Amino acid sequence: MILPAMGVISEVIPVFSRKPIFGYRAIAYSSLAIAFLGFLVWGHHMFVSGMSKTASIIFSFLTFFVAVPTAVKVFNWIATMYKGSITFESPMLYALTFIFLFIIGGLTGMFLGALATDVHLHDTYFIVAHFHYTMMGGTVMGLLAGLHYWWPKMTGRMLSEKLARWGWLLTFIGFNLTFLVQFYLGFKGMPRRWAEYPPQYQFLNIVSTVGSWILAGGILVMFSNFIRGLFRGDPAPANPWKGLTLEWQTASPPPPENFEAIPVVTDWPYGYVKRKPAGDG
Amino acid sequence: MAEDTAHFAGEGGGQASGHVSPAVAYEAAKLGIWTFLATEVLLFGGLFTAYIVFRLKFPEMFHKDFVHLNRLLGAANTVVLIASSLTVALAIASIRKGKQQLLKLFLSLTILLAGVFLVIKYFEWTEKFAHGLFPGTDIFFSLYFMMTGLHGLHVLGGMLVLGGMLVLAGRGKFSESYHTPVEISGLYWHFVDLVWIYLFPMLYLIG
Amino acid sequence: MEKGRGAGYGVYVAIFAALLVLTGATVAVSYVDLGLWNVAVALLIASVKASLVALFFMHLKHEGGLVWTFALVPVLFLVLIIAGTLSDTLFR
Repeated sequence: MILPAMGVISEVIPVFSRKPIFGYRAIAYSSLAIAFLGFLVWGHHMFVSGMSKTASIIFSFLTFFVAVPTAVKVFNWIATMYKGSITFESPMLYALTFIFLFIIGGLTGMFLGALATDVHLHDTYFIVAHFHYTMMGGTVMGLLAGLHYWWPKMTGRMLSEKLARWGWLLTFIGFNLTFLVQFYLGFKGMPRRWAEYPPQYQFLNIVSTVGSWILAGGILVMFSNFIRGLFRGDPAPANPWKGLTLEWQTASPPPPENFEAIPVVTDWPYGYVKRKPAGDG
Repeated sequence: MAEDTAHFAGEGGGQASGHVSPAVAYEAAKLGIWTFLATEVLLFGGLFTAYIVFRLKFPEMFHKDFVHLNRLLGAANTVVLIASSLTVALAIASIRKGKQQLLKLFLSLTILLAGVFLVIKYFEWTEKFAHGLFPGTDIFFSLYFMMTGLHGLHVLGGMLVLGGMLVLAGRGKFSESYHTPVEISGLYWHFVDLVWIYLFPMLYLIG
Repeated sequence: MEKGRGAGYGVYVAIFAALLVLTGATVAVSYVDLGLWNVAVALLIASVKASLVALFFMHLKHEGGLVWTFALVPVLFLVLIIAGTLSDTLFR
C-alpha cells in the first residue's frame, strides 16, 4: 500500500532538489524487497492470539526485516536532497512531510514488531497512532504530493501556491496534534475501540480532537484549492516544475496519444547536473 | 519465445485491437492467464494448507475415513480428466495448423469428458450421502467435499468456457493466425487437471 | 512453422500414455503398505505428472523466463503459506 506513495516521493524529491536521484538501483530493488517481505509478515497481527511462540518469533523476526529496505529508501531520499538546491513548493512540502511522518510511523512499527513490546501495546491507541502515521502520513501524504505535483499536467491548470501552502501547514499541524498524543495515550494503556475511557486520558483526548479539527480545516483548504484550480486556475505551462521526465516534455494536459512527435530520449530522467531542463517555466 | 514472436508477427491477422501488435497481445494474454492461475494456486493453496494442518493433527481420522472413498472411481476420474487434457492439447495443436474441423472435434470431446467426470463425481457424492457421510460428518469429509466441490465448480466453469470456444469455433472465428482464446482456455483447463492430479492421491490414496 | 511451438500430436499422445502409466503406478502402490513412504511416493508421482502436464500440455517447455516466473512464483508462495502456518500449528 505504501509502495505507490514511495514511487511518487522518489519522483518529487529529485525535481525539487535539482539533483539526480541517489541510489536509483537501491530504490528499485528495495521496492521489490518490500513487496516480497510483505507476504511474509501476516503473523505479526496475531502475536497475542494464542499463536505458537515459534511462529511469533519467526514473524517478529521477518517483520524487522521490512525495516531494512524501507530505511534504504529513506536514506536515499535524504542523500538525494543533500547539497541539492532545494525549493519548497507545495509538492516538495508534502514529500518532506511524507519522509518526516513515515520515519515516525516506521520506527514505531519496530516497537510493535518486537514481540515483547507488542504484548503491552497491542490493541491500544499506540496502534492507532502508528498506522495513521504510516497510512495517512505515508500513503495519503504521498498521494497529496503527487496530486499537487501532477495537477497542472492532469488538468492543464495551476493550483494557487498560496492556498496550497496554507492547506499544507494546517494539515501538518493538525495531523501531528491529532496523532502524536495518541502514542502517549496508548503507551499509558488507553485501549482502542472503547467508547469511554478513564478521566486521566481526558486532556490528551481533547488535544487530539482539536487537532482533528485543524486537520479537517487543512483538508478543506486543500480541496477548495483543487476546485478553484479546476475552474479558475491559471493555465499551466508544459513544465511548471522544470522536471526532466517525459510527461513534462509535452503540453498540459497532454494531447491524445501524448506527443505530437515521438520524443527522443537521450539521457536518464534524473540527470539534473548534466543537461538543462526542457520546456519553459 | 523469440520464435513465438516471429511466428505471430508475420501474420498481421488476429483481432487485437488498437495499436498493439498481435504478437504482443498474445504474450500479454498468456501472462494474464498465468497470473489468474497464480491466484487459483493460492485459492486451492488455502485448502491444501488446511488439509496438511489437519492431517498432521488428526492422522487417525484421515486413516479411518479415506477408505470410504472409492479408489477405483477416483482413478477412473483421473484417467478421464487426463484424457480431456490430452484432447484440449490436441485441439490447440490442430488450430495451430489451421484445422478447424479437428478443433471442433477435440473441443467437443473435451467437453464430453468433462461431463463424464462430473457424472462420476455425482455418483460418488450420492453414494457418500447414502452412507450418511456429509460435509458436516468430520473434518476429513468437510475437506473432501470442499476440495472436490471447489474443483468440480472449476470443471463446470471450464465446460462453459470451452463451450464458448466451441461456439466461436463454429462461427469460424479461429484460424492458424488467430487462436489466442483457445490457447488461454486450454491453459485454464490443464490447470484444472493439475489440481486434480494432486487431489486424487491426497484424498483417495494416502490415509 | 511448428518448430519450437509444442509439437505435433504424437508428443501429446506419448505424454498422455506416460500419465496413464503413472496413474496406474500410484494406484497400485497405494495397495501396498509402506507406512509413511506411501505419502512420499504418491506425492512424488503426482509431482512428476504435474510437471509433465505443465511442461508439455501447457507448453512451459517452450516458454521464456517471464512465463516461468509467473508459473513458479505462486508455488513458492504456496510453500511459504504452508511453512508459515505450520510454524504456528506444529509448535503450539
